[in-house]
Amino acid sequence: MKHAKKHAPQSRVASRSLVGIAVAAALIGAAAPSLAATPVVIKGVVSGTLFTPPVISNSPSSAAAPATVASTYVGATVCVDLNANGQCDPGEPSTTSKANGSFLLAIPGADTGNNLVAMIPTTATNNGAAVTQRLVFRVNAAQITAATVSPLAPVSIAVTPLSTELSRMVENDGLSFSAAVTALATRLGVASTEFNQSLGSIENSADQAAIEAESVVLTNRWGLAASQFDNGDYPTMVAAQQGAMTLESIPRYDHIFIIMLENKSSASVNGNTLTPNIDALLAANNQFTNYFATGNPSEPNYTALGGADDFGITNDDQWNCNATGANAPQDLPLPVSGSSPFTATCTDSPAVDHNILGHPNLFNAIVSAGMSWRTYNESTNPGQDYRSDGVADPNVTAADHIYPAGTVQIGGSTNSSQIGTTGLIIPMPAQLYRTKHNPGMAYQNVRSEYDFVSSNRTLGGGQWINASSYAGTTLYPVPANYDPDQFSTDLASGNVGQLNFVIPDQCDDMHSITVQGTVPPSTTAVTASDCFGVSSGVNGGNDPVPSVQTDMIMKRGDNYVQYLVNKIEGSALWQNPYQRNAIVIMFDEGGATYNSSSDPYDSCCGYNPNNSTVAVPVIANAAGTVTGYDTTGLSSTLYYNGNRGHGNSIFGVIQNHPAATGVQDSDAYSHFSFVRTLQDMFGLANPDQPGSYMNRSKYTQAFIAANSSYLTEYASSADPYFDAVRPMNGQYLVPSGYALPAGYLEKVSSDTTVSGTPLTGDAAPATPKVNVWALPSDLQ
Amino acid sequence: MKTSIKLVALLACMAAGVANASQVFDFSYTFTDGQTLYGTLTGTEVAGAGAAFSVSNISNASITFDGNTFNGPLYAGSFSAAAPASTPWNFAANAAVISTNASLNNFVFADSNDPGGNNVTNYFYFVNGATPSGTGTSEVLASNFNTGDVDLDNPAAGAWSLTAAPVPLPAALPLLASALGIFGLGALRRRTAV
Repeated sequence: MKHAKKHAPQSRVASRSLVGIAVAAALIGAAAPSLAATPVVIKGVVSGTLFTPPVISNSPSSAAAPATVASTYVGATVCVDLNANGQCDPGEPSTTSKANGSFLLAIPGADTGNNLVAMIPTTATNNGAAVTQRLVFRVNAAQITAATVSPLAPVSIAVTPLSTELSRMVENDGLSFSAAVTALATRLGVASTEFNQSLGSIENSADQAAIEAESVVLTNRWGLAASQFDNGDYPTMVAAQQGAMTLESIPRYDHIFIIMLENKSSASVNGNTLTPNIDALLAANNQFTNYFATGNPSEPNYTALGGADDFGITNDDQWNCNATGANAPQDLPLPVSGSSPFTATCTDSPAVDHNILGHPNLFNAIVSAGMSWRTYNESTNPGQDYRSDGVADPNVTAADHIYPAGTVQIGGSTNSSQIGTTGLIIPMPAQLYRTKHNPGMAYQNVRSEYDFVSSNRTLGGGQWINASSYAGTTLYPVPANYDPDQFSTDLASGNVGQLNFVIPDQCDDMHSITVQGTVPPSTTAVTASDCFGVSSGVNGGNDPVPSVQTDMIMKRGDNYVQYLVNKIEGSALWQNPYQRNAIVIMFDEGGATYNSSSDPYDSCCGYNPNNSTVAVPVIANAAGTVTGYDTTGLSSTLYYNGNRGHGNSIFGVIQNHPAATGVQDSDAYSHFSFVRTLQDMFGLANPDQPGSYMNRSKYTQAFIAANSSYLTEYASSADPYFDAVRPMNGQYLVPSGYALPAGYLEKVSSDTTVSGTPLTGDAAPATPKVNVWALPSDLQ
Repeated sequence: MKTSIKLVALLACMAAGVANASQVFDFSYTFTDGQTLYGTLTGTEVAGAGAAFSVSNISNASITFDGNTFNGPLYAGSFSAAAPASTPWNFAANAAVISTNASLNNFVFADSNDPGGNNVTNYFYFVNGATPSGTGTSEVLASNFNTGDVDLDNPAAGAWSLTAAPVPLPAALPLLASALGIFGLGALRRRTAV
């Protein structure tokens, strides 16, 4: 094989190489001073994965699963990166990968000790398929040294997305190459010997699957890096590849668990004696202290959490309500058989289509990027269809939760008598599981997604459904090997999604439903101890010191949160020293009323400000230019009724490896901000392409300003900064040419009021805030 | 009759001289991707099984790979799986095995007899058995670090050739002269006797 490019006269690179040799010699001492200068023949392969994305469709018959196969790249330029810029430059020894992805490269002694680079242009092919986004893979020089058997023998090197990641880790995380190998292998749960080979050659099937999955994710990141480098965002490809791991300063995480709670303002939780666990977790970890809901009641908030828009939904009705004609459900048959309470026909007022067709969302985006999502739902009826609400089951019973006297701190004292009824037998009540609390449910293309059924899973720890209690159920056929607590099983195996919504039932999430039982032989109905209680607005939603036992649902929810946190923190993946995992503890909404002239700040950040009646979703190209309105799949013109928030609520972040704890970010954020943050966290959008962010999460201040003729809902914005979306990175992102007014104060919702004293936000941007999501330097 | 006997003796003498004396050999290898390497060396033929032979006492090796001639002089040696991984070569005299039978080859030519140092700029090896890369049972590699030319066959599935070089005319003249001298001396003796 003859080089496509001959290397330059050695004098051209001699000075740098000599310096490198000198440094290497100084580092390794006199024992082997010549090794760095021994010429090397590289027998390499440019390998990765060919990922075929799933087919996303409103129709289940058209939807299809993704596929991943190990692959080799043909037509890649492989070179010695003499100037360490992460690219192949003229004069650097280079060659081209052949039909099987292989290459030979002779590296003169003067050029050894440098990294390899494989530049994969769009003219290259990946297992015969076109490469649509150019890529750059790299190999750290230490990988070559580690693979060297003898000075004259060819050194087998695999240039892959993972070798690139190892290089990035060495350069950015301050790790030696061997430490980087250990870290990556441990994070993925594979043998440390698996990385330096073509992905198709990995013999251990479990290792191969894990490495292929990582390869897909990394390939996406390296594509982003190349795109951002070509856009001039970074001076070198090396810098761009590090930047691609922290889009908009949001670092890449392996898994996130979002524990959803219901209807409590920040003031209802902060300092509440019934929520000591949550308060302790908030204090011991990190939090966003000025986080806003985007709708009311539940369904618009969960829908917004799934895709950064509630599409005008303003109630909790079935997902098929007012979905007729072209917008009729396509995931047939409907769950109307057996004990299901689902009704095939649903109309309500206002007549807004609840079945959202053809709009992007986190679930589609995650699977389209080669990752997975889960929604873990507590207290579903065994065997039920997740598209249907839970129903009462008289054959599944539980005892009441008993709180002995003196064990519950209620305000300034403990309970003087037992809370709960001894001997009470409580049949499983209806509506413990509600579709309104399932964040993907409103999206037709999510319910039609190839993995919708398998991605909705059970969540244990409930009062009624656990390993021993569901056997009597006759409501639905219970599947063989039914697992009432798939969450625990998945945590044990590591088979969780990258994105995990953890949805407690309507008792454990503090929502409240009617739960009653009897104390045999009596037939008198007795209310359970801790599922009737405060809901949004009760006690003003602002009662930090409950004084009545009806507030016990907060104690119950607080206990369940601690149960979930303990379970997650006890898992191997959480304890993995190199995985980056986070738990979010949040509420869907607070307790404030809709925004109004007297109370204007109950939502923020991409919401519909000022009760505008002209809001319409827009279509934007990748560059962020709105090209028209997007009413696809929306049967109603009442879209403007949506996206109005419901006040502040807590947002706690627990990380298994935080850079710091006790960090609080008081900048204003919303569900739309969180969706944008998740897109950054998992590499689902490109910050250079404002239109690549889904739905209203693209409504940054710059985007709104650039498209003001379309986004007339913002025409009378009193605070363009507050009204716009930002990633939750604590950096006060303001567009070029705009500055926060002098003396600017962060807006806070009225339901942050404590004992009648409104909380005030920090003066901003007084000081740069600390990024809550930040990771330790060796895990970035 | 006497003339015939002397002619036979002459041919036997010439044959013996060819078989035992140092001479020039041509060798070449065409890699499976079509890239060619050829060269010459001086050595002594050692008969092998059948028509096969090998060459010992190798010297004056010269190699041209992809049209570029290796820096010289070239050292001849062998690979040994039993040797330390960092120094698997052996440049001792007659360590290299270069044979017309490709499956017997075990040699390396390099412009340094200390390849672990910073001296090698080109080399060519053909190894059977335990290969340098640790893969397969035969391997051929040629690399010229001055030009970037490199090729590898693993296994050694390309075309190998080793032949005695045709004796060039100037070199054959002394032999012819000596033969003619024998004949001439015989004729002179016959004349003298008459």
